[in-house]
Amino acid sequence: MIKIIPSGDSIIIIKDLNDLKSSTLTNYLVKLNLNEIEDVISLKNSIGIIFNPYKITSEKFIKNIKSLISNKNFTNNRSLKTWKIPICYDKDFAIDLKEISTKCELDIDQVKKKHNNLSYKVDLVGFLPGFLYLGNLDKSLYLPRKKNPRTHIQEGSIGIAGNQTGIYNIESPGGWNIIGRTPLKLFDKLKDPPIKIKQGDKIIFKEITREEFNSY
Amino acid sequence: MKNTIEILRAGVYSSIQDLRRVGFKKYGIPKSGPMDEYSHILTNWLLDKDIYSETIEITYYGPKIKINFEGNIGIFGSKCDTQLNNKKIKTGVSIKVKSGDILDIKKCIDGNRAYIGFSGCMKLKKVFKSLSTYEKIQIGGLSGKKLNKNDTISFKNIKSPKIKRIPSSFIKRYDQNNYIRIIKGIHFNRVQNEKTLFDNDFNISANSDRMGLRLINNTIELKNHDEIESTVVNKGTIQIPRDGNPIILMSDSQSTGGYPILGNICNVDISRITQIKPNKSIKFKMITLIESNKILEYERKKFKSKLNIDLSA
Repeated sequence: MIKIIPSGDSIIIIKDLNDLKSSTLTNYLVKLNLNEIEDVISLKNSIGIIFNPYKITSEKFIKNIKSLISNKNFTNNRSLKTWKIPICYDKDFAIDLKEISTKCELDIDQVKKKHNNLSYKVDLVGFLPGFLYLGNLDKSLYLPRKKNPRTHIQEGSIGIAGNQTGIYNIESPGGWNIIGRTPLKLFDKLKDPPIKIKQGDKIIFKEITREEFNSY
Repeated sequence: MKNTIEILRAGVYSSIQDLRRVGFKKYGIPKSGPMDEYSHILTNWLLDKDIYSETIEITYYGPKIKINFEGNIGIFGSKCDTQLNNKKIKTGVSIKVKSGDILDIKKCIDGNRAYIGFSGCMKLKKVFKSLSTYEKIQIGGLSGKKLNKNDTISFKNIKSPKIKRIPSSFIKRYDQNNYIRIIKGIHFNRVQNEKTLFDNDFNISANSDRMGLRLINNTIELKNHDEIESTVVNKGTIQIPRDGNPIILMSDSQSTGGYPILGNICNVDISRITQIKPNKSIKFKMITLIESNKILEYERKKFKSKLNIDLSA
């Protein structure tokens, strides 16, 4: 049974999902193109729908969504993509690599290896435009956010915080521990969609040298 | 230049906004739009324009604008010290202008923001289906930026509709003590002491912006600050960060949040709270979702019957 709760008078949250379900159900809801829906945001275990409260009450909206999605199978309508993302751990980019290595009690090569050895799952696209939250970080790299967030983090920077690694796809302030940078422009405000990677997709990092970074 | 306006002085923070950018939060792009949607909608009504049309949002102290067309303008929101060709003019009523007129909006008096509408359409390209300015990634408005001195905006389809005045039943006061109605949020049960939340006043910090209003002078203690799973947030969502000073998310806010959610402001009260000045106090009043829906329905009917504005359009 799918659980849906209201949050205020203009959000509903579909709860207790998993990655794949969240991602495929989001696709389905977006395609329905319902007039009252303003935004559908796919999270790791839930979906948030922002709607226009002048068009429908949350009570009625929840009822409608329930009847639309009940008895439907949302496990394999969308094939999740795998993205290979080049990462450069050069010290000019990986401004916190030394600190990460000290705090995690690993040498720098071990840190790099543990960081690019695994495949990650996209938990969330958002917060900032195009920001990617990636789950499945190696436990030995868990670190709290920096006490004093930086005012500028370069576009393409890759950081770690808590149990996630993340990609800053626009320049912004931020508190993640910066471990490297990708030369890829994953967010493009001139395109619609501005980012192709979706919640639920897989990410694999591939280490590149500074020379390779510069030639991108 | 014909059919344009020229910005002679930009003011503290003036930007072009249409009602909102819909459908891009899933990429982390906020909905933007006017902080005070209510006044934005009524400004457009003064000029026979639909609720989605663009206005200029002014903040604290307004711009000086040279108008190079014949048509109407309208200003609504906070009361402002406003002049046309050095003569005082009223807000809340549409006004005929002619080529060469100088509009000078100075201080916002009882609120924080006001909206300037024109009886024509700005000749600008929509970005992600909206003209709303969002400076962080420089989209919308004029090249994604707030208005600056010497900017020029071109217009098309300039009309001269008949003069309209906003009825007194739609004029709000922002200079009294204010009750803001809220609906219980998904982490409300973490609040240590509900009494302090509802009995004590809050003030809106001057350190607030289009991303969020920061409340001060009444810290909300939570029973715990255990990590919560990121969840979807919207304009009007009230978050409690670790220091206990609530943040009310606004037009340019993020799409998701990791702080506990105390509640959500009743949709009808969001516009009003954006106008309350830092030195005025507010109090929260808890209502149920059903009550909030009734308030929304009342508002929808009032707009429809008195002004023929369809908020559910």
